[in-house]
Amino acid sequence: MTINFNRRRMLIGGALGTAAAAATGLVQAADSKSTAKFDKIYDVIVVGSGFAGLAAALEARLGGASVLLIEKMPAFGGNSAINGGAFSVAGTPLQKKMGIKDSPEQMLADMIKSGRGLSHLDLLKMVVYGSLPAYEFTLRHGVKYKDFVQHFGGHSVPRTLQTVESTGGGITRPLTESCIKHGVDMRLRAKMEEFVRDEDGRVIGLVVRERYLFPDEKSGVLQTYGARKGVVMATGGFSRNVWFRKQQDPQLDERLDSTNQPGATGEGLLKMLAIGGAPVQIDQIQLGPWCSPDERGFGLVSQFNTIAGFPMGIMVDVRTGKRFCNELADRKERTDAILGLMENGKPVYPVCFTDSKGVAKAQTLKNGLKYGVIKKFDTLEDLAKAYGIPAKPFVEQVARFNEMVKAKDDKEFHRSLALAIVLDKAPFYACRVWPKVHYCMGGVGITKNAEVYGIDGSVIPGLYACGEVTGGTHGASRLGGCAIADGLVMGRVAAESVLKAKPAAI
Amino acid sequence: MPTVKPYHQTIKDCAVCHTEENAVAGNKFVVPSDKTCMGCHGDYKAMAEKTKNLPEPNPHWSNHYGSGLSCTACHREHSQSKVYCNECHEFSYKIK
Repeated sequence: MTINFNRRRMLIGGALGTAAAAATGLVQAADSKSTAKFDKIYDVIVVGSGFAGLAAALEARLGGASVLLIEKMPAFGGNSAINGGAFSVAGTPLQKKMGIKDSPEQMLADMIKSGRGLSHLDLLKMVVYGSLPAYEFTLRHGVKYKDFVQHFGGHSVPRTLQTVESTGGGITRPLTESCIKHGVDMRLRAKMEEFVRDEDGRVIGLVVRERYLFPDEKSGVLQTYGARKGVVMATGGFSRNVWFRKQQDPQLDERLDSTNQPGATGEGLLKMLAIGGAPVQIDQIQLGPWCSPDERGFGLVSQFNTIAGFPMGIMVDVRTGKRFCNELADRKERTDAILGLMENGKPVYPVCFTDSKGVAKAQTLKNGLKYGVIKKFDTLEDLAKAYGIPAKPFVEQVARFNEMVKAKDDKEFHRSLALAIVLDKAPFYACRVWPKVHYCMGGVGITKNAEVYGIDGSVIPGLYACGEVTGGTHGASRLGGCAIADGLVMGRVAAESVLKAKPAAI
Repeated sequence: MPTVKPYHQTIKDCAVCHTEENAVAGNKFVVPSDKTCMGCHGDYKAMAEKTKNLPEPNPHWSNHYGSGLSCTACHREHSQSKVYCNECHEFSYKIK
């Protein structure tokens, strides 16, 4: 007897769909069949307009396919447009120019270590070895980077480029413009509702809610679009879905803010799981250690801490005046240390600061001061007083740190002091710190060619995924600057795969 | 009749915004496309020029979105308008 895997998969998917849809309050429509009439047919449909979606759409279009890109929000870019624009690449001309020795193998080793053994190496290698070509791809489409590389937490050497704008919008805007210029059909306020599949289970299109008004799930008009070659899911993570993230980690409740844009609610992932996509490491959720409780979302402090406070300053426990972690450790290590500063169930916000030399490249300093989330002090004692830090041990900590900087050896927490400076020149700039939900390492399982795995271990034909919606690449902790690498690389890989797909007869 | 903004009170015809061209599957009363707004108010560059001297960053030209942001992300005709930037920032824009 031959088991019909397609039917079995659909039955299981149906059950998952019912549970997932009911839980998220969505009205679950019946699974759409191949008898659907299409309002319009494309070769490729890309869902989501961040790094991964834009890269996939643009490369698919440049490869000759007709492409529709849909974005449920009223702005292109997703989280990619508001992130820090930091892109880690090994072996760039800029690194060579700065005399920094690096290699993809070294970057791979850093990422394996950060992932704590959970990374899927085949995916990780795709991202690492695809990063330099992806960087070159961005240059071809007009992206501009600062003229120095940065040293992000968890990396063994400086290798992180950053857009001149200090935001991912420096990448998403040029790519959006390139998509439009080359003829991708770009739609805002168009939300993916359901997959359309043929009798064999191949994904051949989507039901889309046109003129969708987030978060009104009944707004707009349903349309059905065909995709001859395939659908690419690039819908990002679920950091803003409080219900779903709490299922993975009950501590990630509503008290924890998120750095993400409001639309990062994970419906794309849930829809793929509903049709039997394989979940991978869904509970691996990263918090950003550089955020401030004094502003919402990603804010201004994140960039300040990333470029000034953490590499060139120190972070102290306000109760003791002392450091409590390596300020350049990877995000998981820092986040765990910061979240450890709880007292009677309430956060004790640490303070991160640097001096006037350290803030030279801090682009958000001016606005941070204007909105009061970063503060300026003429003396260490004034700083200590403002935040309730005991002055004597604090001043002693700074003196100790300065001695370690001179000796190039952090005996306290073994931090790399390559970019550190002696903290001796007033004024000093400081901010309060608390982590926010930032990145979902888990997602749907994919092959190294960005094909979506079903729960039976075979691929779901016609369905591809890339970027944060996928799981396995980053394991337990994503290194800073590697989400851009992942999104751009795997977006291009998804395009390459979908271009090779045999067209469905629709 | 849905409420309209004071500055659009002189418009008597729903079809000024809810045009045939804007319809989806024959439904005219959906969120209009940006082309409709730009038909009267000009494109993003024109709007950015008008608002370049505000004390806050230019709401019509940000480093995050450029021209990739729908007019209706902020400007709502039949309900409260809301500045999309302030999902993350604390700008003191006054939006009508």
